[in-house]
Amino acid sequence: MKKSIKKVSLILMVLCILLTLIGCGSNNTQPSESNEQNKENSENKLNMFTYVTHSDPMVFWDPAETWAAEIIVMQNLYESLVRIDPVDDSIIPVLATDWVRSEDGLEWRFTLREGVKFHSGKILTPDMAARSLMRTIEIGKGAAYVWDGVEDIVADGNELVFKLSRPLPLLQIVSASYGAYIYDPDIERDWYYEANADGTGPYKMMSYQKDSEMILEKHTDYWGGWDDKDGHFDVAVVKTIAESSIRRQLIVSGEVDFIQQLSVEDIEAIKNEPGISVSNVVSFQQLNAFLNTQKEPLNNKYIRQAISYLTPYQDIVDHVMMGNATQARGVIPPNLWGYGENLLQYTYDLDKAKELLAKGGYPDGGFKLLYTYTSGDTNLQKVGELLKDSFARANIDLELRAMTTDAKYNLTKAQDPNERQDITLLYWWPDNLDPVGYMDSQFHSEEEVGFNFAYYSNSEVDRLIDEAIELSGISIEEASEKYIEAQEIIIEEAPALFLYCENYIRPYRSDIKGYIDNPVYPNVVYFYDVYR
Amino acid sequence: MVEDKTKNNNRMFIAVKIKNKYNSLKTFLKLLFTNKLTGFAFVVIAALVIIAIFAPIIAPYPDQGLGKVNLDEVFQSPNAKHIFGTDELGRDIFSRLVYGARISLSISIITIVIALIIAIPLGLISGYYGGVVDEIIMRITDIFLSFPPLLIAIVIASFLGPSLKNAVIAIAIAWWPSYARLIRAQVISVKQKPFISASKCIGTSDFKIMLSHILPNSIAPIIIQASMDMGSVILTAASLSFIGLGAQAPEPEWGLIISTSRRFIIDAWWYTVYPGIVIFITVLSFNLLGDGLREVLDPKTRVR
Repeated sequence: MKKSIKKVSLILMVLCILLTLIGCGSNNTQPSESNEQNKENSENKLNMFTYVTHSDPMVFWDPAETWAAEIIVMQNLYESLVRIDPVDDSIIPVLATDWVRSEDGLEWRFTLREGVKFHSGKILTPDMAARSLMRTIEIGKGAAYVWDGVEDIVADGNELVFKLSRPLPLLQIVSASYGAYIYDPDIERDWYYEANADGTGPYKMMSYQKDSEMILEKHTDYWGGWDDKDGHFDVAVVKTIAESSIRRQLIVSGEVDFIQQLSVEDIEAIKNEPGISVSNVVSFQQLNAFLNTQKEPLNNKYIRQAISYLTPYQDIVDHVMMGNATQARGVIPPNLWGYGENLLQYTYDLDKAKELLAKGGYPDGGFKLLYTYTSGDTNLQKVGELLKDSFARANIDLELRAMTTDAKYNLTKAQDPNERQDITLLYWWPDNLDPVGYMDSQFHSEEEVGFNFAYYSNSEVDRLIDEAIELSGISIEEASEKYIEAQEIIIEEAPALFLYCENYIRPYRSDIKGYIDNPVYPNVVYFYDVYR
Repeated sequence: MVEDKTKNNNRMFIAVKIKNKYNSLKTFLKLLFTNKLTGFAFVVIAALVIIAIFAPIIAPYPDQGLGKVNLDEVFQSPNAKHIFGTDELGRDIFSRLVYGARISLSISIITIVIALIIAIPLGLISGYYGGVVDEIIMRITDIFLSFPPLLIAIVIASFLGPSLKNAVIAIAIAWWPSYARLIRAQVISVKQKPFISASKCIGTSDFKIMLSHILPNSIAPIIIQASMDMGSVILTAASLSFIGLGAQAPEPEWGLIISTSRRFIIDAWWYTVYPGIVIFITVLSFNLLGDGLREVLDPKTRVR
C-alpha cells in the first residue's frame, strides 16, 4: 500500500515538472511563431519578390572584399559609379552623373550624384566615395586587381578625380561587377561580418539567417525615388534551397518568383508550363578544359592537338547544355572585344586525331589521363563521361575523379607537375567588361600557379598579352588585334580544350515585369527594376 | 598389427566425419528453407551471385553497362528494348544494374574479409589473454565504436581520396571493431569450458588452442553478424558513392547511379526507382538471411 502511494506521488511529480516545462516552452515559442506568421502575412500584402538560390550567397560581407556569390545581394545593397549594358553597349549612370577623360587619358573626372543617402541616413560625399574606393584598393582583396594602374582617387568639389599611371579603359573598371562599390569608408571590417550592410542601394538589410533566407526591404530615401514605382517590391527575399527538384516545384507552383540555377533538363521540362517565362541570354561564361602541358604525354603538342580533335564538341553542347550554349572559339567569348571570329575551331575528327597521335609517338594510344572535376557538378561529370567515351575510340583511358573544390585546387598546385591532374576544368567569367582575365589569368605564364591550370608558358603569348593590356586604355581595336594574335598561337598549341560558351537560362514567373539578365553582373536581379 | 588398427579407426572416423558433414549440409539447407523468408532471401542472393558472375551474358548491352554512351536513346522510359529504361547518356539501366551487382557484392565481400582479418586475431588475443592487452585493444575499439561507422568511413575516404578501392578500405576500418568485440566475448565464454583446460593440461600451445579449439567454437555468431552486415556494407558503400567519395563515374555502382539520377527524378522516375528497388531487395535479403542463419546455427532461437 505504502509503496503504491509512493509510486503515484512520483508519477504526479514527474507530470507536474513536465507540464511546467511544456508551459514554459509554449510561453516562449508560441508568440514568436505567430509573429512570424503575421510577418509573413503582412509581407504578402506588402508585395514581395522571392529570389531562390542553391547555396547561401553570403561569403564576403565587406564590400571591399566581395568576389563571390554574394553579388546577387550586394548589387542591390551597394552601388558603383556606373553600370554597363553589354547588349546595346551603353553606360548606365548610377552614382556618377557625368564623366570626362583628359586628353592624355591619365586623368578622369566623375561628377557625383547629389543627395544620395546611405541606409544609415548619412549623406554620401565625394570625399567618402574617394576614400571608399581607396580602401578597396589598399585592402587589395577579391577583385581589387581591376584597379591596377590607378594611382590615386581624390575628391575635388563635387567631382571624383582618378589619377592613372597609364591610360586605362576606366569606365569598364568603375562598372566592375565586384570591387567597385561605393560605401561608407569609416565602417570597420568586423561590423560587416556581424551580418550588416550599409550602402546607397535601393534595398537595405532587414534580416539574415544562414543557409535559409535573407530579407531585404526598400530603402525609402533611395535617390531614385519610389513615387512612380507602382507594383514595385517593398520586400525582396533571397531564399536558399539546395535541392534542385524542390526549386523546380516551387517555381511551377508559383510560390517563388525567380530561380537562379536550375539544370537545363529541368528548364526544358518546365518552360511550357503556364505562368513560367524563361530568360535566355548569351553570357560571357566559358568552360575550358586545361591540359597539363608539363606532364607526359600532354606535354607534347601533337598529343594535345589529337585530344582536341577527339573532343565531341557538338555532343557536349547538345547533351550537357541541351543546345543552350555555343562551341567556344578560342579563349575570349563572343560579344566581348578580343573575340576572333576567324579563329580555328577544332571539331571531332577521329582520323586526324589518330594521325596526330602517331606523330606524337603514341600511334596506338595506350595511355591513361586523369580528369578532375568538382564533385556535385553534374554537367562536368557528363562532359567527363562523354570525353571518356570519345577518347576510348583512340584507345586512351580517361579516369574521372570527383573532388571537393579545395582538394581539386590543391592538386592543381601540387609541387611536382607529374603529380597534378592531366585535365581539369574551369568556368571563367569576367569581373569587368574586359577580356584581360580570360587571357592574362588563364594563359599568361605564372611563377606560382593561379588559374593557369595548363601551366602554359609561351614568351610570345606573354608579350602579346602584356602589349594588349597596355593598349587597352588607348585603343580597344589595337588591343583586340594583339589578343587575337595571341589566341592564334594558343589555339595552335592547344593547351586547353575550348568547350563551350553558355547561355544564362533562368526561369521566372511570367507576371514579373522589367527583368533583364545582364551577363556582366551574373545572377543579379535588380530588385528596383522589377515589378508585378 | 596395432598400427593397422589405428589406421582403420582413422579411416572409419573420416568416413563418419564426411557423412556427418553431408548430413549437416542437408539439414542446414532444410532448416534454411523451413523459414520461407529465409528461403526467399537465399534464392535472391544466389541469383545475385549468378548475375554478378555472368554479367556479360545477362546484360543486354554489356558495353553500356560499363559506361559506353548511346546518345540516340537518351531518357527512354521502360520499354521492350530497355526494360528499366535508359539514363541521361542513353545507357541501358538494366545492364548497368547487372554490372553494379558485381561491384556491390565484391565490395561487401572484400570489406568484410578485410574487417575479419583485422578483427579475428585481435579479438582472439584480447579475449584469451585478457589483462593489459585486452584493455588496450578494447579501448581502441571503444574509440572506433563511439563514432557512427558511416562517419568514420567518410573521414577516411575523404582523407585517402575518392575511389572504390579507398572506399573499401575506409569501410573495413570502420567495421572491424564490432567484430573484434563479438569475437572477444565468445572467446571469453569458450575459454572457460573444460575442454580448453584439458588442452592446456596436456600442454597444447596457446596458439594452437586459439586457432583449433576456441576459434571454431566461437565463429557462429561472427558468421551470422557478417551475413547481416553484407547488406549494411552495400548500403554504406552506396552512401559513400552517393556523396562522391566512393565509386567514380561512369562506374555502374548502385549508389552512384542513384546520386546521378536524383536530379532527374521528376522527369525520369525509372532512373532512380529501379536502382533503389535493387538496393532495397539486396539489403533486405542479406538481413533476412542473417536472421535465418541465426536460427539455424543457434538452436535456441529455432522456431519449431
